[in-house]
Amino acid sequence: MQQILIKLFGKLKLKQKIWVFFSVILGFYLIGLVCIFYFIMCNQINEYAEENSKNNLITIGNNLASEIDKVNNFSRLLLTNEGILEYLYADKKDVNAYNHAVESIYSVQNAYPEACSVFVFRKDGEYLTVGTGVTKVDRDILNSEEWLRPINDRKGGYLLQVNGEGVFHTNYQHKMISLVRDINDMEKFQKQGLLAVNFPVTVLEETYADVADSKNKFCYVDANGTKLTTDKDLEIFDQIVIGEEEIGQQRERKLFNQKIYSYYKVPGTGLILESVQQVDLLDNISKEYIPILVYFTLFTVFAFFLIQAFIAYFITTPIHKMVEAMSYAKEGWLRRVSVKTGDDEIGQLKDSYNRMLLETNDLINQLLDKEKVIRKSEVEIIQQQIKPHFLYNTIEMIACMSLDSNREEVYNALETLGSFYRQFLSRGNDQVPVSTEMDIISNYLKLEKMRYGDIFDAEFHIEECCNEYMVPKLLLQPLVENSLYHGIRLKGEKGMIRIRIWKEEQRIYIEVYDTGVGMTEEQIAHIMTENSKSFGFKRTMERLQYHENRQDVFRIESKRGFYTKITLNMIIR
Amino acid sequence: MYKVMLIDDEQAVRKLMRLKIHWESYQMEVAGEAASGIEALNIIDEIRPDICFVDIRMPFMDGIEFARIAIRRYPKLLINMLTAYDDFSYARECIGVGICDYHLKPIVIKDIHEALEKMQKKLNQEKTEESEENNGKELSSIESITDFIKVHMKEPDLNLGKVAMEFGFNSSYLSRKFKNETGDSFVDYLNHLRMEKAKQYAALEKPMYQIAMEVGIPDPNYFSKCFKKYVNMTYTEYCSQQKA
Repeated sequence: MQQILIKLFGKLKLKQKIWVFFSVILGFYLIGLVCIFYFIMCNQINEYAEENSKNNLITIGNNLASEIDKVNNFSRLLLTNEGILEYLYADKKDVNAYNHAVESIYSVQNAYPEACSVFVFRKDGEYLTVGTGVTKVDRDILNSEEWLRPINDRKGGYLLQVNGEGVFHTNYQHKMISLVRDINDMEKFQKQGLLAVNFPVTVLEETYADVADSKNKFCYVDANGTKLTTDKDLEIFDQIVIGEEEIGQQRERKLFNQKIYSYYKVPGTGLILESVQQVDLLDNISKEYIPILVYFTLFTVFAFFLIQAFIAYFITTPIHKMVEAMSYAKEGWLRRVSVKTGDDEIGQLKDSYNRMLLETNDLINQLLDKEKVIRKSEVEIIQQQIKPHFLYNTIEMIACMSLDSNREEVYNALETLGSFYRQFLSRGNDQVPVSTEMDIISNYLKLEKMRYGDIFDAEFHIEECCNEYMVPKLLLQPLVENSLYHGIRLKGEKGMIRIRIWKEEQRIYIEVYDTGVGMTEEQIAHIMTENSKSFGFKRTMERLQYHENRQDVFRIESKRGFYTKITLNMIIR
Repeated sequence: MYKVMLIDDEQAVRKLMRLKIHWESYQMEVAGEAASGIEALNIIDEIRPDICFVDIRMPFMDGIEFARIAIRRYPKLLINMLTAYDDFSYARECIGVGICDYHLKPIVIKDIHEALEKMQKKLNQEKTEESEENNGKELSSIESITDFIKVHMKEPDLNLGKVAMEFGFNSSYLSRKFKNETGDSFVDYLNHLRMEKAKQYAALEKPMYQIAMEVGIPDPNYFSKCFKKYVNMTYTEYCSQQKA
């Protein structure tokens, strides 16, 4: 899979590669941006929410405290109420005292109308009650030492209990909170009775009614973990773990919303306030950030396109154009690239390419020139050889011969001439086997002999193995002609032309020897210069040098007045 | 009859011209042939041609050089150059030399005939104008002539014409006088001197072409011909005989 992707990517054009690459980068970049943004926002919102929740808890705690204060004050009013005090000290059967106490309670009940019932217990177990609803008293618990001690420990202070720790039973569907305290005699400093003010949990709910909604839920719990609320949906609060601290918070994180679980041990009440706050991120994201995020994203995408365009304009497009321009070379012509580029690397690349092109073209030209020189010398040699002189003279010689009416001789001469020119002018083969070249030489010498009479002898010594070796055509003919015209004929005596061809150490040696007038040192030194009269020799040697691709292909030895020996060597391939 | 001399190193050409051109119809005859300019210069005094056909390209002395010398000596000589087509740029050198006509090789007999007709007319005209030249000068001493020959015998262009010019004689007068005084013709005398010299050199075993040069016949072919005629054997034979 990975390899297929790499392969596919590799096949794309440069421009497409950049597109793909940048798109991927942009994708990652945007995802990263959103993530970072999300986490930052999350943290910020959470911290804010936690703080907020804490403050809420404290505020609610204060509300509770003031509410409790109200109950406390109410209870104090009752403590100092003469009617109640009388009742405490009155006789068991004193109905008047009872009634009077009840009236007294009614009279102060306006001070705290929320209280649903008030109980006053006498030491002898008698008690009176004022309130709504049916309330039963569990006397067993009431009289138990366990229940009484904590109250006693308060030394007149109040204690809050839920349903009086089981003392009170009511048909009221919700739980009640009981404020319980001892009633002490101010003069005797003795416990005279017990006062309990019951009020419904709705009073507690009132403390957070202002802040509570579907997302912020609150609930009071007493020390036993009993939830003091009228709400039914309470499972959510089970998550809260109460720790040692006065205030504790926990977070439950989800992708787009979180819950903050908090508790607050409201001081002086023994109650714990619990809250569950649901924080919805999307609602909480500050609306100011959204446009910034959008603008920033748009700017990034815009910058991406800008970079893309920049790369396209300054890199991909010039490269593409250069590739197009260079592809002309495929058609066989090397052309200069004239694409407009800056003075950057692309420009340098273009310049280098153009320089290379020039050099290549130069090289090609040089090669062409060299080839032309060779062709020229070949053409010149052929022209030199075909020179009408030889043909005219031979024809005249044969014509003359015919006048002597020696038919056989004329026939032989014509046949030799025809054979010579057929081999001589045969096209297509720049190179011929040694044997063919020797045929040409032999015919040539035969004709020359007819022309000049018996002025020379010719000897050929060719090693058998050299016959098939390929040599440039007409390599030897100019040399032999030189031997005859510039060697032997100038001497006035009968001479000898000898050709030897042999193989030695991977080379073929060809020696053309004549007993002509020879050459002086000066002539030898001069023979390869441009102004040399021995034009045929020079061109022939140049041809051989080109053919062999080296300079030392020939050697001239001569003794003035005696001989000339030219030795050619060719490496066997 | 007008005398024609054929100078060409190709024997075949000379032979063809001699045989295929109807010289007689133009009152002409082939009086001599030479295989090189050197040979021609040597024998031109004997032949005294009116017309020369000269190949432009010959070894040792080319046609142009020959024409230059010959015209200086015999201003009335009608020289016809024979040139091959590819020698034409070479032929331009002839301008100013005073050559009568050019003919391209291979020779077209018809063209030659036309040229001969023209030359015949020209020669006929000149003949009527020609008066017996008498320089009125008498030969004082033959010794001064023979001394001059001995000193200049190494020069290839030494011939009767040159000597006559040098001494201010009419060449036919000098020729006649020379034969009377020495008993030899000028050519034989010069040849005798050169061959004797050559015989001396031959003892030194020098190659023939060098000897030929030394004695004023730089064309070894002609030298060899002369030597054989004079000594009655070839140079090589003579050398080996001397050695023995």
